This record gives sequence, C-alpha cells and structure tokens, in this order.
Amino acid sequence: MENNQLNEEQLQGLFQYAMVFARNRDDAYDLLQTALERYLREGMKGKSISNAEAYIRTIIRTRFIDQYRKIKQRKEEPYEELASYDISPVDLETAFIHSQELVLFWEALTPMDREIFYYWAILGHSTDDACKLLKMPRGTFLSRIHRLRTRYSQNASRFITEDA
Amino acid sequence: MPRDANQDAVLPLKQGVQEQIKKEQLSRVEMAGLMELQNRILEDNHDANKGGRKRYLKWVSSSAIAVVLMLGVLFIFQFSSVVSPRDIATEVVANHLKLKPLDIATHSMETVQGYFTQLDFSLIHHGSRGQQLNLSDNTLLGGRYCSVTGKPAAQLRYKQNGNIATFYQVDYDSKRYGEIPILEKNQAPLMLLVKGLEVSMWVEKDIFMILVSSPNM
Repeated sequence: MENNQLNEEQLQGLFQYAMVFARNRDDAYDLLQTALERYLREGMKGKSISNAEAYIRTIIRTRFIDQYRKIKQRKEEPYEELASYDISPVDLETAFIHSQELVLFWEALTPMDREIFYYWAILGHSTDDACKLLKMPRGTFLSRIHRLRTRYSQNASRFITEDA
Repeated sequence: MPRDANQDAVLPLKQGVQEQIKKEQLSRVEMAGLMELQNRILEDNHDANKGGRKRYLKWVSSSAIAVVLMLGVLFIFQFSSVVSPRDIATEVVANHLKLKPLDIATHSMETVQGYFTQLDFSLIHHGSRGQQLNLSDNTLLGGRYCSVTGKPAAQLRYKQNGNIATFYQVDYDSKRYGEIPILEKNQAPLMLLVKGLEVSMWVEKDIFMILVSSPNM
C-alpha cells in the first residue's frame, strides 16, 4: 500500500511548520526533507497513513526536539508565578498588535510557543485546544505571552483588545 | 480600524501571526527538489515491487552461499593452528596492561631462573632486544607464570624510568607460531605496535621471546 505524494500547497504548509521551529531555511528544509522521506518509505513498508501532513508534522517535531533542544538559544526564563498574572483577559482571538512589534514578538517566542500559534492561526484550533494537544500548560503559555506583550509594547495600549 | 499601507499598522494578532508564518516559502528550486524526491522514492518502490520475488530469491541464495563459505573458512581455521604475530601481540599487550601480581619479586635473574622449574626450557637473560633496552638485574622486578596462546610461559617484569616492560618467554613451536626471526641467523626481530606499545618478537636459543615495552624506553 502506497502513500500519496504531497502537493505543493501541502509542502509549503509543512515547510512553514518546520520554520516555526528551525528559524533558518536550511535546517527547516532538512527537517522537512527527512520527514517526507520517512513518510514515503513507511508507506512502502505497508504502513497506511491516513493523515500525511499530521504524520509528517510529528516527525518534524520529534526530530527538532531531539536535535535542537541542546542548543539553548536564550537564558532560562524565571519561574513564573502564575497567580500574579490575570490570565483570563488574554483573549488572543480579539487581540491586536502593531506590525513592528509583531516581528519582535514572533522572534521572542520559544519554538514551542510558535507551534501553538501555528495550530491556532493556520490549523484553526483554539489556543486552549492547541495547548491540550501539544501538552503545553495553558497557564504557562498565557503568562509567557502576556509577559512578551508587555515587553514589546511601548505602551500597553498598543495591544488593543477590540470591543465588540 | 483603519489600516495604513505603510508599516505603522495595527492588525489583528491572528492575522499577523498567519502572515509571519506564511512569509516563509519554499523557492521554486526547493519545491522541485522535494517533488523530485517524492517521485524518485515512489519509483524505487515500483521497481522493488516488480522485481520483488526475484530479488528475494537472489538474496536467499547469496546469503546461503555466504554462510557456506564462512563455515568453510571457520572449519579450516579450526585445524590450522598457526597463530598470527598480531594475535600474539594483542594477547601479551592485554596481559602486560593487567599488571597481575608477581609470583616472585626479586632483582636477581638467577633467583627468577631458579623459580621457573615447571617450564620445558630454561630462561634466558633479557635477550638481545632486552639488551638494546638496557634491561638488567637493576631494572628487574620479578616474574610469574603465565600463558601465551594457551602454552605455559614465563613473564618477567622490568621497570625503567617509570616505564614497565614485560618479557615473555615460551617454548618455540614453528608450526604454532609460524616463522619468527631467529637471532642466531642475524634476523631482525619482528616489531609491532599495539595500543601504543612496542611488541618485539624473536627466537633465541629456540625460545620464543616477546618483549612489550613503551616506545620511549
């Protein structure tokens, strides 16, 4: 039983997923290529894979975690006291951001945070669902996002939550 | 919320994130590479499936031949009892490194010679190579029985300038050890390097001598 080839659109999406982790094109391309090959060869061995993209994403993710975890790109963040943050008002669905801060904000996220955002913005999950699926503690994620928003907004009103 | 065409724009976070993610695009070349990779792998698969049964049979028969050959070689080895110098050298170096306690501790070669009564031969003083290294009673620590390729042997230990040298003497059997250089015929000793140690081999007065020493001795 053979697994189907992926089309260009699917490959772009998977490359973008790999970039969420790798942050440089060569590494991302390498992650994607290896995962793609694995997927095809597993199919040749008779393994039937119903969701090719999900399968390939998993391989990319696992390889990334194995390879790049060793590289500490930033200092460890101090332990967050979740109680000191008011988590619930962080309603990302209705949040706004200044385009210049967006770039800084995006780079400042950890790869695992960006993965949550990928699941949210590209795959259409809610952030809560994404946190559950990816085993990210919701409180940790939200408080980190909150801290970054505070850091990168010149004044708090830059991040405007639009009233209905 | 009005959106300017310039950079000073505020936009929904979700949209901004989508744009950040989708900014990254495979180039035409990279895309072609991945499509070609897929084609290639799937083609290999097709070929493999077609030739499947034939290839399987070929594999089985070539494995069978390999096994028969291996068994044949092992069979031959069982009956040929020649041990290679390298195998001997490996064994004595391992023994040298273990530094097992001496049976008899003495500086006197005479005393040591008197100790080894169980051997079919009598020990030789240091030997030619030993002389080259200035091994003498002063540097002798003592001796112990040991074995070399399963045959009973004498082991003498020397210490010189902090370096240990081990001298093995065993009855020489050309059928077992092959042709080892003979001192009396002015043949130069065989020299090998094992684990950074020098192993010298020669036959003197029909005794197989093996010396393990440090290269800087």
